[in-house]
Amino acid sequence: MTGALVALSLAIAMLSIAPSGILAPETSWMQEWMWFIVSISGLFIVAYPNNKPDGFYFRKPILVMALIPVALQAVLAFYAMAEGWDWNMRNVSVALMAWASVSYGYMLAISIDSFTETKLSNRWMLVFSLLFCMAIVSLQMFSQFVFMVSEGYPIFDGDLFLSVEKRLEVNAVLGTNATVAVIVSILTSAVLRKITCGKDQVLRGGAEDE
Amino acid sequence: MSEKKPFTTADMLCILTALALLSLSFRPAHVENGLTYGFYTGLFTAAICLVPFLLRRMGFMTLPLTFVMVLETALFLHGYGVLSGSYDRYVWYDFMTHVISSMAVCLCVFYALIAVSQNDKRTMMGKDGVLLFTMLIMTAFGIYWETAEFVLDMLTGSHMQYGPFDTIADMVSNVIGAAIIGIYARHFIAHHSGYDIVEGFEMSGRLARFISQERD
Repeated sequence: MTGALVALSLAIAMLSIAPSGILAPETSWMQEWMWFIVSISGLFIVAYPNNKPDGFYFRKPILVMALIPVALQAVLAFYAMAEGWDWNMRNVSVALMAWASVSYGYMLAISIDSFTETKLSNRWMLVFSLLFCMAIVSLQMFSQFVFMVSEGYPIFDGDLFLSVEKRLEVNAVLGTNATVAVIVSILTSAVLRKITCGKDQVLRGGAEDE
Repeated sequence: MSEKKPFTTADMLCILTALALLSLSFRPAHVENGLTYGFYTGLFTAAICLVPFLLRRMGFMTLPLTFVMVLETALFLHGYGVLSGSYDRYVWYDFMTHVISSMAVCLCVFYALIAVSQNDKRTMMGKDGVLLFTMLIMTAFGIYWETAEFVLDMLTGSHMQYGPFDTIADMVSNVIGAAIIGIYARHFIAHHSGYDIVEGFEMSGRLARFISQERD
């Protein structure tokens, strides 16, 4: 399971930084760079505990939670190679990114709990996973803003003061992805809460689990 | 509860700030010209200024002087900005109040996390953990705030978000405020133990029990 997750993350990381000309012409660099960051972070987060002397493997429920969005993103990325990205696909991609980020954030919290002086209850691990996801979302918002500037969107208050429709439309370009990510992150952490009661039994396994 | 509490610098600061805002709110120009938004903002911020004072007087908790100073400054600048028209007159005023407000929120988060770390037996964040969580919570707070504004605008047609530049400027000011407090907090916890900090809060038994409650 860990191997599959590592392989898929690598595949997505590669797809993310492939020059846009190789993929569909409409593909912009913005979304893919965010997935690149998430994939590479995920690789380290998943692999790190295995390589510690007193390390452990993450158990199946947690790995599956991370594997599903990464696998779906891989399918989406291949589909985009043929069709190009559209607005709805972008939102789906961000939703998957939020799902993966919460899962990776939870794994990171387990590692922090195991390898540092910081000790976290399950409730705080869930909070950490949400916060980790929000840190990714903030990066995504900044990259979206840079994209809007580069595309020539009206971004200043003065440009948008007279037209309510235009203001809402431009704000939607920046805010929709973040809103989708916030909703999905809350749902994902609720699911994680369900499957992680009694954390030591569910989350960490020894080498024999692999 | 009947123990008489001495009047402190923090108490005086709260009362003076509230009085200053009240005197600005009741200026004839506001009352006679029907500038109700400014008037009610002045009254509201003046009332919030008294919260640290009331919390201490009611025996709920004592907020640290640093926090009270930053909070009162943030509230005064916001109230003054609305009442004097500084928000409209100066481009930098909004950015400055955002930075100071986020410093106040960040300090609140920082102290709350120390209290949790000291009182919750299943959570021990340590100094680095408290700083990490403080920064992450501030980042998340910025996202939730902007998302809430966006959703409200979309659903109700309100005008909370001006434009993308304003949104990003708010988030940047949030990060700057958090970074300033992060530097202060790093220095502060290097010289104070968590136990001493929490003792200084003089929390009521009820509040301490709420924080330390085992819920998992």
